Amino acid sequence: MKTKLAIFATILGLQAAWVLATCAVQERSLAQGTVILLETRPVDPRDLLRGDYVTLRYKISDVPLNLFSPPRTEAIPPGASVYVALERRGEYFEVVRASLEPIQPRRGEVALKGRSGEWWGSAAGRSVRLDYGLERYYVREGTGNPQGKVTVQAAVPPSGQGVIKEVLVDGKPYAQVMKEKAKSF
Amino acid sequence: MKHSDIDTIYKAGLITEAQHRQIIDHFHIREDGGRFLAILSFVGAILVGCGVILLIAANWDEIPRGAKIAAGLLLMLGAHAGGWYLREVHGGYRKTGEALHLAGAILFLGNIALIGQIYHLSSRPPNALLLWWAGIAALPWLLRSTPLHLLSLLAFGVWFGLEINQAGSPLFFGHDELQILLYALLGLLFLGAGYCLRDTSFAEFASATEKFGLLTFMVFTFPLTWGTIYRPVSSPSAGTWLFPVMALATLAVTGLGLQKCKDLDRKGRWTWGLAIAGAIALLAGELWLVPARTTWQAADLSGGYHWVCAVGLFIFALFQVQAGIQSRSEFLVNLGVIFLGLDILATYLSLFGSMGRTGLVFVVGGLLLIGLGIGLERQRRQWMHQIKAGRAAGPDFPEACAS
Repeated sequence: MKTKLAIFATILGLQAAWVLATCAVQERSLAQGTVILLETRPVDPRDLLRGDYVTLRYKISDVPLNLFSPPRTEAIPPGASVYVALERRGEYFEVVRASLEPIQPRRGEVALKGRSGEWWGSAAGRSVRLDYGLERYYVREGTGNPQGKVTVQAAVPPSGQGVIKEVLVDGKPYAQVMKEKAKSF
Repeated sequence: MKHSDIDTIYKAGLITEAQHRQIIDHFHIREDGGRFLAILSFVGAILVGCGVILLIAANWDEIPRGAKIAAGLLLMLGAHAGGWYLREVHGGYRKTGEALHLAGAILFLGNIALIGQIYHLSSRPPNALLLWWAGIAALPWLLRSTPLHLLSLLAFGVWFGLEINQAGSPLFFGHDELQILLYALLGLLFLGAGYCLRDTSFAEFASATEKFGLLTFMVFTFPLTWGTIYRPVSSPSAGTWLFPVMALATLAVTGLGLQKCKDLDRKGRWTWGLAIAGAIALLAGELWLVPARTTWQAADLSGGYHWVCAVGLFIFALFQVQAGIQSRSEFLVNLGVIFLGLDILATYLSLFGSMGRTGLVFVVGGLLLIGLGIGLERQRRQWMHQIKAGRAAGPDFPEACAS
């Protein structure tokens, strides 16, 4: 009975530990990561059973193959890890270099890790589409329809795994804009 | 035989109180209300788990994220603690305790979804399901809970479905509808695993695993009889290693497991084993023998292979009924009869063409189907009667049946 209880408690402990450890890692990334501002391209919001979310596609999501070092002529298979170096160009951060190997960021650069996705578009073979894990922003039920310019503040820790810190609509926090919108109705 | 039936016989004065107790003890008959309450508890647990997941999905942004995470963890741990107390400490409400464990296991998925929502984690969705399955996989074995075991099988199945659709995954099977072949194979794998569990210290999971597996196989094989499976010209699924590896594993596991099917005689085991091997061959034929689609017309989609599937599934269902009668399994017989009927219905619907002719075929065919339904039901009752007679005859029934 004691052994059974011990094993049971260990399993529950591991489940709770995963929850808490994931929170800790994400909170650390949010608190200590370099905050960058990214420009998005509007995509229709979608919703699933587990919650409404806004699908975010970024300018940095499509990376031309000529930015890769060493230069690439062949398409990158889906699911491959890709590292990009971002540099501030005006207000937003943009891709300046990319590689299939981890990138050491130079001064003023931020290294971000992504994964290549499937792409059947006309630019397939000239660019690669990357998912950074920043593509979904979960929102309150019924508020997945932002109107205005959507930009994203992401925190990027040294590991390169970016986390969304805030989504801004015309420079204001998303939740605030949606609350104001609800009041005006 | 229900508890209430014995009570009625006792009240009518046909048996003494001692005999009443003796019958109940001998056949391990539980009170009818207990089972009903157990079902209610499990439905309640599933509703609570799904309800919490939906509440999480509603995403109340006024609640601080720390409070959300704490509430999620407390609910999950509280459900398990309550379940442990009721089953292991109090002991009086074992089924309710099991239901609370079930709610706790579903709430772990809720917590994973909550973390994903709070931190907007979106990379690789199958990982969340894999984590859920890995987190709850040991619980059924530790707590000896069949509902938890079924939830664990379901979690594995859902992860498997997402993984084979994940581009870049080593298990990636293409995005086409042929993926149902893998789900059907997984069902047979579960069936074989269920057989393997017989005569082990976890024999109580065997029946549920077998039923879940066979039901999965039938549900995912049945669409092959429709002739509408979409098959793109350049489907990657035909070239992957996954199907042959799973097919071989299923054959091996089922072959091992069938040796433990003592409720079937040697001939019955061979017949049922060959029926399962034939079913795997039927799935392989769908993957490798059917030509790729060249036009959009439905008739071209399967190249006529769906007729082979219709006949194959019909024969499989007949063997299943035969195995069910010999092993005295009402589930095998009932499921076999249902799919015999569905198979006939699918074949019938595939046969007609224009609207004018369809109307006539519907009327004539409808009458035929009503007749067929009555015939099938009568046959089913006869088979049930045979099973019950076999139970009364005792352990010599398989031999009697074979002769």
